[in-house]
This record gives sequence, structure tokens and C-alpha cells, in this order.
Amino acid sequence: MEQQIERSKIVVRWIVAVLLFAAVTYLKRRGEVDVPWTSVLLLTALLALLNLAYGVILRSGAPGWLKYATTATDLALISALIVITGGTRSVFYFAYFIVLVSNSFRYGMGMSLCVATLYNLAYASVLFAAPPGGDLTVEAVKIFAFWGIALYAGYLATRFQRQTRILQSYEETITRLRHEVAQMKPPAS
Amino acid sequence: MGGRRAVLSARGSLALAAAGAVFLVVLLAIAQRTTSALWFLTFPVLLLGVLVAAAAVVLRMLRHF
Repeated sequence: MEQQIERSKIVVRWIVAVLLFAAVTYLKRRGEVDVPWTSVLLLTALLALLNLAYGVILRSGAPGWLKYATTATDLALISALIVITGGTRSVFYFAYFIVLVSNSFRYGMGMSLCVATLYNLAYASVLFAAPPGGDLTVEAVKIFAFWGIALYAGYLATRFQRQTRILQSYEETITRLRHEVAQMKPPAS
Repeated sequence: MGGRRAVLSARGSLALAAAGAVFLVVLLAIAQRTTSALWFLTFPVLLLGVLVAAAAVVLRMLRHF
């Protein structure tokens, strides 16, 4: 199950990487972001390397630590992208939400809280590396908002998982009853 | 035949509520006053503390334990 989830995350990661690379290239050519090509290419290469490494690891199963490692590296790479594309004014802030939604709905409330905690630490590091200057209340509100969304996504995922389990038990009951009915002999006429 | 032992006593839930309130005040004070992003590193602990305290107090009020 976890192996399947992580494999699908690899596919999503390739798609998001291509889209983000295209967006950075477009914005750079228009002069909207001032970021050197070496940084962009280095980040892209690092992401590609990590994604390939995850693919290799997943060939022989999914170790328990992998989902946390992939989430942490995803958030770290997004934070690096945000730092080099303008810090708090970066248009790539939304990418954090891709990681949140992608993991919360797949793994539930526990992972939601884990993503929110890692995001909190990562974004505090971004603010430390590229300080916006002056008051940080707006940034604190951004962090609170992310926590709120993470808790809501976790709650929805938990509800969805419960309903899936109920549906699964119904299906099992129906299969068992069908089997029992099929084994019953027709009454003699 | 002894009754079920309470997981959280009345005094315990009061202490938890007080701790949650303190955490919330600290959280809001940091959000409003800080000029250093390093203080944001305390948010996960403070936020989870507030949430756990709130959940325990609500469950106590609903006589869940």
C-alpha cells in the first residue's frame, strides 16, 4: 500500500518539477524573478536525483521512514526555491500546499501534523535566511493559516478513511452472503 | 468492585486548561511582537500544546473521561 502511494508521489513529483521549472524559466525570461541559472539547474538536478533514488529504494519495498524522508526533502527543496525567488514575496509559496494536500489525503491526520510541523520549521528557516524586515505578524498569520488548513485536511482524510473502511466491510459482508446463498441447496419441489 | 479510575481529574483538567491558555497567550504575543523568525520555531510545540489542552478540556466537559 505504502509502496504504491510513494510510487504515485514520484510521478506527481516529476510533473510538479516540470511545471515549476517551466514557471521559473518563464518568469526569469520576463525579468520577474532574479535568480541565477546555476541555482535553478542545481535545484532541479537535486530533485531529479532524489526522485530517482526514491524509485530505486521502492523497487525492494517501502521502508517506514521513506514517507517522512520524501516529505521532508520536498519541503526543503520548496523552501530553497522560495529563498532564491524572493523569500516572503516569492510566487512559489503555494507549492507548500501541494505537499500538504498530497500527503494529508494519502496518509491521514498524523501525516498532516507532520507536514505542518516540518513546514513550520522550514518556513521559519526561510524567514531567517531571507528576512522580510520589520514586523513579522503577516508571516505568523501565514503559518497559522497553514496549520489550520493542515488540521482541516487531516480531519477530512480521517473521515474519508473511516468511510472507506466501512465500505470495505460492507463489500466483504456482501461477498460472504453471496457465497453462502450460492452454497444453499434449492428446496425440493 | 471498584469504579473506573478517572484518566483526567478535575484538578488535572483545570491545570491543562490553564497551560493551554498560557500557551495561547505566548503564541499570540510571539505572532504580534517578534522581529526574529527564530521564535517561529516554537510554534509547533505551542500550537500542539493549545490543541491538546483544548481537546482534553472539551472531552472532560462532555464527561468523556
